[in-house]
Amino acid sequence: MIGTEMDEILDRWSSQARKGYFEMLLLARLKAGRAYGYQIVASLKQAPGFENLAEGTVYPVLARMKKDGLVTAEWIAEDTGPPRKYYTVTDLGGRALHAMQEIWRRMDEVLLAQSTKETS
Amino acid sequence: MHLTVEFTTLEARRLWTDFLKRLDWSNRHLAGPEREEANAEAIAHIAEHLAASDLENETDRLREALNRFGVLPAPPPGWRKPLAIGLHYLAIMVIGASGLVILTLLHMTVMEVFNPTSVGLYMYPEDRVLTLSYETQTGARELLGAWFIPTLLSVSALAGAGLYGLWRVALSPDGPVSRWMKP
Repeated sequence: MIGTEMDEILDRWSSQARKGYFEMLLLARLKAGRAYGYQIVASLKQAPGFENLAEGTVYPVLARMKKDGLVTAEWIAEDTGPPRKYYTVTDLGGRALHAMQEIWRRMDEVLLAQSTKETS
Repeated sequence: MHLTVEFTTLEARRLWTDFLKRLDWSNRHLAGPEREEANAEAIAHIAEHLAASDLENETDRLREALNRFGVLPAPPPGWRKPLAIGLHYLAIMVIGASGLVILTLLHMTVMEVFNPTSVGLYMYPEDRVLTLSYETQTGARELLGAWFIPTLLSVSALAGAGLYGLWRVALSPDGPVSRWMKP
């Protein structure tokens, strides 16, 4: 298989894999403390695979999470600079994050077990 | 919440105006206050980026911020919506009028069964005008004879298919004209 084909396959796969991970990562970031959009984006860009994240894509996801009751949002005026819309995780969001992490952990365990079987 | 960012150079103002148009268009699915808030949040994001950037040139700072924000779809040209509305109502009239003609043709097809000697397509020898009639036209020649029914059924089917195509393009909610009519 030539390199470009592999790149295309990995691009497609990682874009699918990132979708579920992205929401979990957002919730995990907000669980660590309330944050505004620009701050959230800066944190997310440190995660592998998100270095080139189009920053505008974060906001529709945050809006959907707000609609689902996973986060709340509040505009706060700053002394300097533009007002900031701070997001905070709700109880529901916290529980959803815990459940997501549990599913992710189990998937990882299964994958690891499969890999171990293959090598033994 | 309404936020504004001011720029001094012409190029930066042009980029910013284009971005605002694209932003508003990309949030068009949201209701009024939600749309305004989503726009304000994106503007606040760009403002944060501009304040944090090390670049000296205002236009470069803005260009960098917009590139990182991601490409937003451009709104359609201003003439498209009125054109779509015009096409939509024109299609309603065409489909309505043509539908009546097709119904008449089908009715004549049925009547041909009961009255084959009178119903027909006639042409007068002195002029070249074709006349579809339920009654025998004195002095005119009937052209189709036994082919009247298959001809009218074929014409009706072709016209019906054409009207269906027009409906799909100009009236169906999934068609391009309906999509162009949306704000």
